[in-house]
Amino acid sequence: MVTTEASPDNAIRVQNPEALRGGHAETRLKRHLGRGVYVHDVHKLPNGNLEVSLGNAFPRDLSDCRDHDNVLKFITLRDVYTIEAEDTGQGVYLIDVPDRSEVIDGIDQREEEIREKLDFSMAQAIYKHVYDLPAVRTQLNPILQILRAARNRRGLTVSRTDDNQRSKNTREYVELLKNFGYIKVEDDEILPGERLQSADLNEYSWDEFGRKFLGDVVQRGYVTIRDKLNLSMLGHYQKYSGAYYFDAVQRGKQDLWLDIDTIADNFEELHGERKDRFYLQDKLGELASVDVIQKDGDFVRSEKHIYEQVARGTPTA
Amino acid sequence: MTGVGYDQLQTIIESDDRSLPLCEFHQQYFEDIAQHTDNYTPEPGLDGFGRWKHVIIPFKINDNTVLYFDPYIQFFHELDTIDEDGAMNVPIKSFNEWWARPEKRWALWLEPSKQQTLSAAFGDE
Repeated sequence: MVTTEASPDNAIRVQNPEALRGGHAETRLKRHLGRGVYVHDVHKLPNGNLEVSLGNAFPRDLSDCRDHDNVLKFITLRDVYTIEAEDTGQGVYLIDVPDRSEVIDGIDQREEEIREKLDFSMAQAIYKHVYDLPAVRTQLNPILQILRAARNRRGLTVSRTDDNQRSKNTREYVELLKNFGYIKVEDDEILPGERLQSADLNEYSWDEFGRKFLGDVVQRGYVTIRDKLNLSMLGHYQKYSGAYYFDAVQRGKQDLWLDIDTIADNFEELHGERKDRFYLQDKLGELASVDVIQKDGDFVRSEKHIYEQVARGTPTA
Repeated sequence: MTGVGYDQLQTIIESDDRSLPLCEFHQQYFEDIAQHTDNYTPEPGLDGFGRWKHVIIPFKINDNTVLYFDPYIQFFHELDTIDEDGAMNVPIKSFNEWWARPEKRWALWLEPSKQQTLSAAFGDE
C-alpha cells in the first residue's frame, strides 16, 4: 500500500540546511509529494526555523510542429508551497511533510497566476489590432456613440441614450466614460470631459479614438470592466492568440510553428474547453488578418512585436 | 528493494517468472544523454530539471554496456512502440553514474508469490 501522507512522527530530520537541495530530505519529499517537487529556496527565519520554498517541475512537449524538432522542456514553477522546518535547538530541523493535496493546490494556483498574466499581457499586446475586427467594433459601437454625442454637444441626456440604445449596459458605459474623464454629466446631459476636450485627442479620428478608449479599458483592469459591461469580444480573441503564444513564450522561441491541433490542445489546457479545428482556423485567420499572428495553412507562428510584449509580461518556466 | 547491484539486476532480468525491473536515474542523465543518442535533447527550465528522477527499464547487462528502455525515447524518435529499435545502449560506466549512489539504488519488479488464500494473504477480517 502506498501512503502519500506522512504522520507527524514521520517528520523528516535535517541537519544541514545547505544540503536540503538535492539531499535526502528532498528525495523524501519527492517520494511523498511527486517526483517533480524540488527545494527551490531555503532561508532562516528570525525565530530560528527554516522557510523551505518548494517548486515543481514537469516535462512539456514544446516541439516545432513544422520542423519536427521534438523538444521536451522541463517547466519549473517556483514557490508552489512553503514549509516551515522547526529548529529543535540541537542542530536538527524537523520538516512535517505537507498533505499532497495542499501542494497540488499550490501548483494549481501558480498555473492560474501564469494563465492570468498571459491573458493580461496578451490583451495589452493585441488590443490595437483586434480593434480592426468587425465583431469587436460592433460591441464598442454604443460606447463610441455616447462619445461622439458628447464631443459634438448634441444635448444628449443619459435617459435618452438609455431609451435609444435599449441596452442594459448603457448606464454602465456612461459611468465608465465618466470615471475615465471622457465625459461629464450635468443635469442629465452628457458633455465632453477633460480627456475629450484636450487638444491632442481632438486630432484623433473616430477610428483612432475608439482604439484609444480600448487601450484605456485594457490598462485599467480590463477584466472587471469587460465582465461588467458584457464586452465579451474584448476577452474573446486573446484566448485564441494566447493558445498559441503560451507555447512560444514557454519555449522562448519567437519563430515557433504550431499546428491547429496543438493550438486546440493548448486552448483546452488553458480554458478547459475543446474547440473544433474549423472554428479555430476561422479565429486564427481573423487574428492573422490583423497581424496578431502569422498563418501559413495549418501552421501558426508569432508576430515579432506581439511575441516580445507577451514574453515580457508572462513569467514562464 | 534498495541497495541493488548489477548481479541482482542481472538475476531479476534473466529470471523467467519475474518482470523486467524499473530503476531510477539521477537528473544528470538528461544533461549527458545527447552524447549517446541522436536527437535526445531534453531542455532545462529556469531551475534546470528540478532534479527530476527518471525511471527506465534495463533489460540486458553486458560486460561493457547496459541496454535499457527509456520511455522518453518514443517522444524523441517518434516511435509508435518501443521495441529493439528504441533500446538505449550505453557504456556501463555511464549507466553507473546515473543510477544513484550504490546504497540508494533500488529496483522494482513483479513476481508471483506462492499461491495462498486471500484471507491468509490479507489477514482475516
